[in-house]
Amino acid sequence: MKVKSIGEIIIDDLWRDNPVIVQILGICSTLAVTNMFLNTLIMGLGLTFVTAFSALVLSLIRNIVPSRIRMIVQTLIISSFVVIVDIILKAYVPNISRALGPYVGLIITNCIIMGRLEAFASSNKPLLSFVDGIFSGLGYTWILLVIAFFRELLGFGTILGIRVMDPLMQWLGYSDGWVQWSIMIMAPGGFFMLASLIWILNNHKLKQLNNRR
Amino acid sequence: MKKALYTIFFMVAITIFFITILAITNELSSKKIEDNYKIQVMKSILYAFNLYPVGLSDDKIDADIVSQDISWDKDELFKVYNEKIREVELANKKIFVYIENGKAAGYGFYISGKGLWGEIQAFCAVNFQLSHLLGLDFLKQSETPGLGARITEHWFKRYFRNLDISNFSEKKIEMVRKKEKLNTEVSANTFEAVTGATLTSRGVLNMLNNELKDYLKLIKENKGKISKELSL
Repeated sequence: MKVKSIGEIIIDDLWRDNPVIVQILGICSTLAVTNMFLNTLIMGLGLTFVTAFSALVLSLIRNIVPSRIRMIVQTLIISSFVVIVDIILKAYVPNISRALGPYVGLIITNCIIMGRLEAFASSNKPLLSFVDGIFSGLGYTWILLVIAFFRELLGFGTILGIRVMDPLMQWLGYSDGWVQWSIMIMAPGGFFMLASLIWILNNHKLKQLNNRR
Repeated sequence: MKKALYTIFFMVAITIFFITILAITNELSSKKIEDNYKIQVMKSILYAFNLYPVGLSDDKIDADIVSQDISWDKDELFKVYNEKIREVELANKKIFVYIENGKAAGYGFYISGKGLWGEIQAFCAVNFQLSHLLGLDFLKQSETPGLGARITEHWFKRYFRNLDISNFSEKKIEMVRKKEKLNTEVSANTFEAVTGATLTSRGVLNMLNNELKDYLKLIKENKGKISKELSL
């Protein structure tokens, strides 16, 4: 199997083989946390941290892990890092920890992490696996942030909790300000946004591919 | 056989390794987490009693800003808390007394109820006459981030400022879909539900309606005892 270069890994994880829009992984949390930009950002960073370090550790011990228990070992590594993230959030950013509530623990169940560990880290060198972990996490994060931007903006009229739409509407002459699109803060809004984004980005990719031909 | 033994040995070794790392991380952070929680509880109690750092007040906080944290200077927080808040125990229940000019100005207590996903714990404060809520703050909840968890935001919690409970035995607190004016403007026994989180909002409503009755009765019957115990 041809070993990918770091550049290829980065482009694949962020764009060509993006975990959310191409592999359709990590959808539960994509729908759940993306109605607020800040929560999404922290969730994304938490997932990136866990994926990167889990991939690094698994890659370091890949040659000594008995194949029949490799999945249990992967789960053990992932859950350990998730608990570490949970403790760090509780100790240093307690507000965010409270805001994210049970979702930090649910990073364990995110398919992206186990997917990258099984598909990449278990057969590649530590540095490459670490980079793959970071950029798989960032590939997930940037898609979620785009969704969160629109959901929070339309649903609450805010970005990072700061009112944006009310002043904008008043500046445009609508004295009542922004009428919140409640559906955007609920799960259906997440579905619509995710589906729209997958459609737009994959359409764009297809066009790029056709142009190259 | 050798392979099976190696597998067992490997699993035990890696488990011990990660448990050790987690134990060390926990040990290094547990004090800080505990302190954070204590500070958070103190902030919540002061918030419920409508006490803010110098220069800040209820109407100065932008209700639409999502952040739920009131930034206190640590020294000021301890000073205000120690000066204004005292604790007494009645019938195995902790009652917090808000003291203003040497007199009791309000009472507070912990309440809990069921949310959509789990237990909600809150601190509730009432005025000295037991006729209005002074405020409410949430200490623990596991509601959906961005939906039910919005009960911790200031825009929601300010509906509990000056909420009318003067006729609580006959007229319980009610939840409404839309509230044009705050209870600080037009006193009423209602608060506005969180859009998209009706079950969580109802959880808050039930928690208040179930817990308040006993506490109000307990405080009403023991006002003299509380004052005596605290030499007020």
